[in-house]
Amino acid sequence: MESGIFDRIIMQLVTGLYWTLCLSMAASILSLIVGFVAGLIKSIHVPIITYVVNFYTYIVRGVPFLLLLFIIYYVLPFFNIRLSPFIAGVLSLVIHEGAYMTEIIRSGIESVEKGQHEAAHSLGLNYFQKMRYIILPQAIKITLPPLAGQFVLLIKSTALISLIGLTDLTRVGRQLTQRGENPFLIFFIVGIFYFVICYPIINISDRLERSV
Amino acid sequence: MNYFFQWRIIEKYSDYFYRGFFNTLSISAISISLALIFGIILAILKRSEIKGLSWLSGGYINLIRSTPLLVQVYFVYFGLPYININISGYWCGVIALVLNSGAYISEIVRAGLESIPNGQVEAAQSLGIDKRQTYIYIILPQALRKIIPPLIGQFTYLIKDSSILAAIGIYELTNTANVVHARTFKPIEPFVVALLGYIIIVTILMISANILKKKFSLSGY
Amino acid sequence: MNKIRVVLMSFLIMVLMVMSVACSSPSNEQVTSSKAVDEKRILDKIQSRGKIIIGINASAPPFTFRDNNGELTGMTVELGRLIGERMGVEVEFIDMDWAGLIPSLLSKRIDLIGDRMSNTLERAKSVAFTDSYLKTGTVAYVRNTSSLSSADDVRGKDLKVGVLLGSIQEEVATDQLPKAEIVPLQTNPDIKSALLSNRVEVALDDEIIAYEQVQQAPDKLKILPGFLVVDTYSFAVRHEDNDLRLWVNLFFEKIKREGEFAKIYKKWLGKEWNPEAQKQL
Repeated sequence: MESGIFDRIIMQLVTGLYWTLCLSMAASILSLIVGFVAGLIKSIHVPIITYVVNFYTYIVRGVPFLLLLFIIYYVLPFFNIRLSPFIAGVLSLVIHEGAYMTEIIRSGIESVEKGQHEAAHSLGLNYFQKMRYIILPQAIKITLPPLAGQFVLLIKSTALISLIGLTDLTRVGRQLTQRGENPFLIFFIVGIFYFVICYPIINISDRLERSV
Repeated sequence: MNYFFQWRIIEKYSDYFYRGFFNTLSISAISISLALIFGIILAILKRSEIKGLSWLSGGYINLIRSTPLLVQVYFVYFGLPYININISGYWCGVIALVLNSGAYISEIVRAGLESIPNGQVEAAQSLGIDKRQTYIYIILPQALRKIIPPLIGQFTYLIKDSSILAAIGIYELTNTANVVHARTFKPIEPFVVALLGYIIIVTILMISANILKKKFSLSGY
Repeated sequence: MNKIRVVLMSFLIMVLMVMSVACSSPSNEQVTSSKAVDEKRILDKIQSRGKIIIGINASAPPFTFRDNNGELTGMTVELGRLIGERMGVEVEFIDMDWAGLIPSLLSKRIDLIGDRMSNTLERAKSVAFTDSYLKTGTVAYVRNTSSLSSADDVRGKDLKVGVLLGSIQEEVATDQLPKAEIVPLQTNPDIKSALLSNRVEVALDDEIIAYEQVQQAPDKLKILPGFLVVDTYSFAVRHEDNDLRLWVNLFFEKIKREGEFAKIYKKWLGKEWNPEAQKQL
């Protein structure tokens, strides 16, 4: 009886894990794209658009992710945009994490020392060649550790999507406790799932940071 | 847009919002103070020469960093009553926030302590100052100056993280907006108020951080 | 200085946005449904979609809950499945927090609230209720060690009272227990847990749900005799979907007459369905 229930707990948690992973992957890719574009814009100082990007990152980073999620899920329907919890979750994650990635990428690009730009200029490279062959590769090396850290934050933030009804890992855990299962056991197992996903990334990120 | 605005519900529920605003601030303030103490202890443990302590605290910090805050909150909130420790939801939330922020703060503190050049310690020793006094008069002041900016950053994170306590029914700002939404079926008004509330708090913090940064970063350590 | 400029500009833009949105409210008082798709009747939409979307809150046995395999089950779930069967469409259940049911209905995420919703006048301002299918009431339940002995005892005392967020028990508590500190909780089992863990002294809930919750810890909890308020349950639709409401009413009439309802009632509530006692006149 004991191990039978255990199996059912794990199996149900795994269905939740599926959603957590889907959310994480979709949101990671999209927010990276957003962050890259916006970060590039900011570092180039394109006139008006930079102001818009600044406004975006300022507001989004000053507001809790949960509030942003609720707004996207509950307010948009009145603009006739009805999103499923999954899509609303991905959208909120992309908006929220994208803002942080913008800052990371921007500071990565800007931290490549001026000498590199001047050397590229003296070699006769135009802007695109300079970025592609000299600046960006170095910037990427610098941004990798904090980006990895941000990805971990993203994966952890997917847990909040459970609060608008998505049956991710956390929500399944919660449902199991409502059914009377031992909360220590359930959330311990849930924690292990997250740990197994996140810790390797954190570990790699720490190592990269130390070697840079 | 198919929406009928009723801004007067904000007035009607204004004391809810005041309470939510106040709770967010009080929870964050209490949590950051306790987390600071916890973080310093953790940092000292991690730097300790006893391998076991260092390993344990390191493991704890990694555990916290690799699991979502929401799961940690649920763990505390649902787990404690299961072992017959019955504390109010408010304090369960504070405990979870302290356990969480403490880990991050300990990393900040540790980085601050490690950034004090060894030369200082050696110089102090050669001057005959004992270990305890070295710590209190030489290392700590410099370290504190270094960690204040990231600490304020952590406080900002904490204020935003306090919104997660909405999941266990604590009446902080985000949950207040949610409750007013549940009662009135109007999402825009309450959420806009909550939005503005957070932006105001974070902006005030940012401005004070800037002021403090200027005051503390005197002679570029 | 650059940061301060960003801050000030952000504020200015935010204030402008909020003001422009607030000031446009008079013109929004008219219901706009200029899109052709909104003019289609809900029953047509459901037929062409091939599925009806029913909102529920699955943590209240015996009405709506999940079994040990995580599958949805319960009295209202069975009624919902029967609706789909009789309508000739699939049923998609969306499980959400209780407080989210009406907002989801209003924002058109679901077609029907197919759960144990009390048809109060206040709610009826926002949604259209079907005729009620069950009469019950709100009771208070407490720990066995409590000194309270009846529902009347609870009134007039300053106790911590646990209720479901967005439920009528919340309203009842606010109206009838002015001195109480009301603690809204997310789900019905949470109310029981809060009671067991001393977070609240009294729990208010529907009589049938309270009974199920107390059954899970019969040596620790007891229900206080007496109703705080009598209650009737209905399903709910949007005001403009009157055709669906009429259909559901007819559905209930049919299954009551054909005996299906009595079967479902007995299966989940354990008692014989007594239409006379259940008369909601």
